[in-house]
Amino acid sequence: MAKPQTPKPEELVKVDYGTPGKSWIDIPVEFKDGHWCFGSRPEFLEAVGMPNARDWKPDEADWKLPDDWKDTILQGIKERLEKYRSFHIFMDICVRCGACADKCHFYIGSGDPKNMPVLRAELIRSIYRKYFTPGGKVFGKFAGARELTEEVIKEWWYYFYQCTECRRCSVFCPYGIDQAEITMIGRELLNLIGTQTGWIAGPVANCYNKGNHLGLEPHTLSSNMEYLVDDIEEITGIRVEPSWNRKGAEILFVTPSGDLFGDPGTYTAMGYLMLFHELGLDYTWSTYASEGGNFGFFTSMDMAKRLNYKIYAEAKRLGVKWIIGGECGHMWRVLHQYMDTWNGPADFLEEPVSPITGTKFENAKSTKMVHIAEFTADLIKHGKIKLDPSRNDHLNVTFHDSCNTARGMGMFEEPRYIINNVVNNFHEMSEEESREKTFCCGSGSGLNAGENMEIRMRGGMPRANAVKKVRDKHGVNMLANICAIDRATLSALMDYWTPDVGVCGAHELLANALVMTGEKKRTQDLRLEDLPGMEEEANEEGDE
Amino acid sequence: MLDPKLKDILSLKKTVVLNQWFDAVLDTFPEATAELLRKKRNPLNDPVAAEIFGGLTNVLNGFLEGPDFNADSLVLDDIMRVRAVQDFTPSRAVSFIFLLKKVVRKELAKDISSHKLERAMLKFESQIDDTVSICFDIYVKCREKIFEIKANEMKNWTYRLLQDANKVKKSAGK
Amino acid sequence: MGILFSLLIVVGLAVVALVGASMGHGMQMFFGVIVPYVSLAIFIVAGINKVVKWGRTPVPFQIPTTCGQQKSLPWIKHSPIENPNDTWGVVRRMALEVLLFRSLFRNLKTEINDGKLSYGSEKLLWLAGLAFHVSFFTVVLRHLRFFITPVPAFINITDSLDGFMQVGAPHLLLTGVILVAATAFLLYRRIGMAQIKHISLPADYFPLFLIIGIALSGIVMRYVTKVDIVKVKELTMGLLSFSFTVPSGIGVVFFIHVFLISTLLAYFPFSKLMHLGGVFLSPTRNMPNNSREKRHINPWNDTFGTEVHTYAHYEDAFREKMKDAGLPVEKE
Ligand code: HEM
Ligand code: SF4
Ligand code: SF4
Repeated sequence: MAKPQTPKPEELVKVDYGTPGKSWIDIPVEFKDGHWCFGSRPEFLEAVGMPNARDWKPDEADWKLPDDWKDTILQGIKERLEKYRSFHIFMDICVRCGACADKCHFYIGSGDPKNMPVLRAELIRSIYRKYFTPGGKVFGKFAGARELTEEVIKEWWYYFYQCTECRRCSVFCPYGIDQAEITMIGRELLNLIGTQTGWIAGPVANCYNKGNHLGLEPHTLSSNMEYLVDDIEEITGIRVEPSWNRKGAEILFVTPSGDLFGDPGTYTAMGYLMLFHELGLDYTWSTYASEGGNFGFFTSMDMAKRLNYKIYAEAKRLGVKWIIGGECGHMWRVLHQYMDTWNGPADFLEEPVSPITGTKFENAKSTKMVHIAEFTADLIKHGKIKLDPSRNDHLNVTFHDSCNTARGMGMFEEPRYIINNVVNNFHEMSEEESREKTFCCGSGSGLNAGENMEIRMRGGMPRANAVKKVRDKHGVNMLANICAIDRATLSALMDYWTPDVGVCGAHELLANALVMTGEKKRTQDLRLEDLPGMEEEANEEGDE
Repeated sequence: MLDPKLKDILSLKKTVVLNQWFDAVLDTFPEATAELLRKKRNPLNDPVAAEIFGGLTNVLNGFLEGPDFNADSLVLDDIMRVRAVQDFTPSRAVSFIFLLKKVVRKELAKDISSHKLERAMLKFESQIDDTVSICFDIYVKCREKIFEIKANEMKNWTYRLLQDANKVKKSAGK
Repeated sequence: MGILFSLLIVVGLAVVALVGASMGHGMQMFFGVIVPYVSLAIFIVAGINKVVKWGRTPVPFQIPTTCGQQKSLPWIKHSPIENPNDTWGVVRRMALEVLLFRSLFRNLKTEINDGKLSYGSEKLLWLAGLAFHVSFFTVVLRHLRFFITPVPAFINITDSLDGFMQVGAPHLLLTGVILVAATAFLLYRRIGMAQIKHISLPADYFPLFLIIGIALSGIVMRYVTKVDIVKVKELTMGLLSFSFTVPSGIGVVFFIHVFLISTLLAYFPFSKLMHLGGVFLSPTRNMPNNSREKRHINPWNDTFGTEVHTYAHYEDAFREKMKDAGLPVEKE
């Protein structure tokens, strides 16, 4: 960085501001194809009473913002500075050391400097300085402050919907500054003026009115599950009999609705059905609380709370004792860190105790909601289920830690324990790319739409790259995870970067290995594909 | 295959050519990104730069050591897969290969005339052209893949619902 | 450009002090007594004000960033520091953060091996950051000898440890050298590394130049102009006892040193340097991860929008369909 000649300070100031491309502030945001999601349709916002419902297109110049949008945003920032210590401190103390800069998968994948977590935060920090700090008011741009304009709103929108709220940056920051928290507040602000993506607003509206993201009505839910039940019968010869909205069941089971309809999530759902059947668990599904996921969490705290309300409400109505939650990432961030605070105390429930092993789940004694991986790991530890891992011998498995269960919960060993008990070939990804340092699938926090596929593929590149390494080294052909969104998005990611690697949930692997009482000889896995080796044996037996 | 003499010279100047090529490729990125990537003395500090640099190294090695590239070349596949999801027009996505011509012409100008390598150079250039068209094919394949993934994802999301619809249709047909 | 601008401001400040202190006793009084008082007052009042403001802001949700195994089943090995479950764990986690910069120690750098991205460890920022802070802290501690009579033993010990190399007269103090070297490295990162330069603001260069200025002026005083320590102590003790004396013949470098320090103090509460206080309050680090075990209370929970879609609404909308599908309903 040699500075050839030394101009006078006045000149310096001018040069600095006059040269676009030098400071990020002077680089205007450019909406690139494949990087952004379509805007929300008015009916989605109306359905849940969100403001400024209208038809709009993010790539058009006029965003049809309300007249007082600027006041709304500034007032919104002020309010949140007073409500969130996190936000307030994160606005003040970043030293711009850059430790977080190259930790974000979107920066790694795109090279766009505004995808460095620190700059993503500066997008909003610059406004904070301008309107809320003496330095910013007096020294303006020189103190890193700037005016709030429509351009800024567009830039926020573009980059806050290029952050999957994965918290990887927060792990490396010396003060724990969490860009996910800032993004969440940024999106909340954007929602005050009606600038949400359709991909998030749609599921929110559906979930609010119909109980799940896809907007499936009760009869569709229950009749659809019959397909899974049919498949299970074909594979095992056993007809499982799940119940819906059943009062007096001991346990309410809640999982992301996506797993009931989308492949490969359905195989995981079949896994739950089989496991619970084998245990003879007294549990019920709910159509009203048929969504574990919470796209409200990608909208505003308020919306997230309103959607989350249904879980406890339904538990209370049905009179269950406690709740089990299925495999999901952001669902568990919400259940673990927010639900009890929002909608608790759940004093109408009992402290969870496994009816099979008698284990008390002390760590969930206030929320009364247990993660299925905790539940199942406990079963295996106590030898309560019979497993034949050799049925998964054709699989070489690696495990993807989902961002939310990793960095918003710390669930690392439970799923690994399950997987290690149900498969014989397991290989970890490198330490720098797993556990608390895991890489996001690139499509979390409501970014799993179709129209932004390019940025999804780029954001997912570091994850895919890590998978590629274990594939090349160990012949890995299956990427296990405990997240419904992952099951969908990693499938797309693998399809693009490492087409020969499949994606599955931990409980799919478990159910493949699960030896059920009275089952017929398994010749197919849950995907109705022939189990290598098993078929021959079956034939041999037939010959005898 | 590369003319042996040209190959020798190119091998000797590999580092220079590679760096020049890398710089030229960075010019195809958006301003702010390129500036950041370029200012790195050591491209290996920056993930995207590292990815590109690695790709270019492999391609140049491929030219030097053979075998000739074809549609199944993993090296090209790797680099094109990345470029197909970067914000490039198709022509810009494959242009990086063309840039190699310019760089080699410039860096080896003296050697080409002093060793009478004009003919070999022309051949090398046409080899580069062939590679461009291979890259283009891979690019198109990758883009198609993206569309296919979009469609598949939609289908997968609601697979069981479609199953429902299909059954209804089937039974109505019976 | 922010770089030169920040440098020039610091140089300008030094020049102001230089010119001022050369203008006679009156101005020395100003730079040696009034300015330090005012800046210290600003530092304390504004600094406390900021921390109190943060402290008063509620922590609505329990959002620790978990970097290790949660406490769940008894036979699963819990990671009590990386993912603390109770206050004791949090204390240990914070101690590691504050004393050893645990999180910076995780730093990785992206590399490419065999055409694939990989991530090597990158400890330089950690090392320089720690060296900078430890030496800064030690230097501050050492300065207490100007304010306390007799000089407490622990400061003398620090001094002799620090000068263990026994070179030069007065003995070369290592921390001073480390402070300058580490700050210079931090500055180099901002100027020489494109990524870091791109994210840096004038407000990032300014304190670094200021600290380098402070350290250099201190070093010059100690080793070059050999300031008269007795006189300095007379002045500093005067500050403490509110009997304002500025002995003559201290030398202008001292006033530069003091003026730059005063600037740093007055600037501190309005800048990122407040991470000194903020780091202790950061909710992603200072909260235990036991939110399912113990309910965390949000003081403004009730101010949420309360409109929810109740089961009664739901059943009203779908009752017939539910009945047809054989699903139980509340109202027939
Ligand atoms: C847990 C505790 C702390 C951590 C992790 C921490 C970390 C950092 C980091 C990473 C920088 C930036 C270096 C750069 O410019 O790249 C910095 C700067 C600085 N810190 Fe701390 N710090 C801590 C506590 C403190 C304390 C207690 C002080 C009290 C004096 C302090 C004073 C400073 C100063 C004066 C700078 C200025 C240098 C600059 O502006 O870059 N820090 N700190
Ligand atoms: S690591 Fe933390 S302090 Fe450093 S630049 Fe990133 S957010 Fe700021
Ligand atoms: S939360 Fe994740 S996606 Fe968002 S800035 Fe941090 S690392 Fe990037």
